[in-house]
Amino acid sequence: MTAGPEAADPWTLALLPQFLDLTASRQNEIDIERGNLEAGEDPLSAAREIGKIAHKIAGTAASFGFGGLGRQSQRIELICNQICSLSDATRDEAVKTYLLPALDDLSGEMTKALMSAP
Amino acid sequence: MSANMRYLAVDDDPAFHFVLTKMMTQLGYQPPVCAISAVEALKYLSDPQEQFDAILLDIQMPGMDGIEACQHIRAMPHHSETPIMMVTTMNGREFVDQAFAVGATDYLTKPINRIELQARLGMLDRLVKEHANARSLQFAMESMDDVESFGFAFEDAVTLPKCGSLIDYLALENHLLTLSRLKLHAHTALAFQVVGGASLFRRLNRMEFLDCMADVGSAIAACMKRQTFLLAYAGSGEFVCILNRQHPVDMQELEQELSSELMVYDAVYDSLGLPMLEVRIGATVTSGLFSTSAVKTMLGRARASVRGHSGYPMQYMAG
Repeated sequence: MTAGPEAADPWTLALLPQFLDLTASRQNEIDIERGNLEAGEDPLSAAREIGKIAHKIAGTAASFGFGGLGRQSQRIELICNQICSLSDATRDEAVKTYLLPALDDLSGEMTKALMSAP
Repeated sequence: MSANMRYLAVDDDPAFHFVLTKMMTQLGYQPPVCAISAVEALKYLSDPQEQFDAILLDIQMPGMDGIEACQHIRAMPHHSETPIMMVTTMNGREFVDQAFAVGATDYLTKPINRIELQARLGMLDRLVKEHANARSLQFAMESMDDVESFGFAFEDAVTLPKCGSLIDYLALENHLLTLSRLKLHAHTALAFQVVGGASLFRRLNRMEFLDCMADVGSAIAACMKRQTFLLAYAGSGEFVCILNRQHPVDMQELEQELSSELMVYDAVYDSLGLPMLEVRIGATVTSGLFSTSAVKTMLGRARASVRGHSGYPMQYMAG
């Protein structure tokens, strides 16, 4: 088994279960916030929360060999920061155009990581 | 040394604690003490039973962020010099500048890799050793019966006393290296030199010399306060200031302001039979930075400029 789709230090194998547990719970948290975004419920708060979760994933994913997940999380964090700085009038459109498709990509990367579990 | 070092790691992400602990133990360090928030970290640091040699501090955390935490830590007398390395995914210039301005020693961006972590922890190890030496020298100095043995050379970039707006020269170098790594290049260096600094060094005892340099540092900092800057004492009676290139300095105005600031000390220096403080200002130096050597070159060029060795036409005198 490899730690992830990209090369990672062998020692990460020992920590991989904890990382994947956290990833699974973060995926749930993101799904809940995504639901709020799609329902139009306080998109500012939802984008802020998603940005925070993505920030955490970006900090360690590459260390476990999930460089794609790390990069996509960084992208989400950037999009969320930009969305939070927009006016209410333009935020909804930016969520639809940029954030939701990017969340689809993130979900794909998270699923890929979770499926690598031993 | 590293095996005995005790680190406090502050990060709200448990996954980062796993990674850091594993990497550090593999590098021969003790497992760090992990705090999940700035508030928890401040509790550890306030506890006299807990001793830490260095601190690794995340920036973005719920509640109090790492920048504010760094300010609180620096305000603790027993941690005013403890090395603090920011370890963060935040890679914007504003975060880097803020971190060093509030007293960070170094800045490492996530995701961390073992080789880079090893190099940066090695730097913190050396700094902890230097601080331990400096503390024993400070103790000798404060006892005042052994001032002569409080040894540092004129060229040494020592930490100045009671000079809050200055950072250590090593932190200034690390600030520039961080900007280089993140490809943030909009900055300039400007050097200041105390005229007759070597003569002052010979004439004064070490404590008096440090106080004199602290006076100059405070005067320079007062002149730069309208813009974002970082200032450090570089040794040899010289200071280096890092400025944002987007806010050019009016050199004539700076010279006049510095002259006024230094005049405040004239009466004191006169009463002590010391020459009036006079400071030479070099030309601003810019550089595209990509390496440690390029950072040292930029700082070296700024200092060469103030010494008149670089062919820079513009030099200014204040005092």
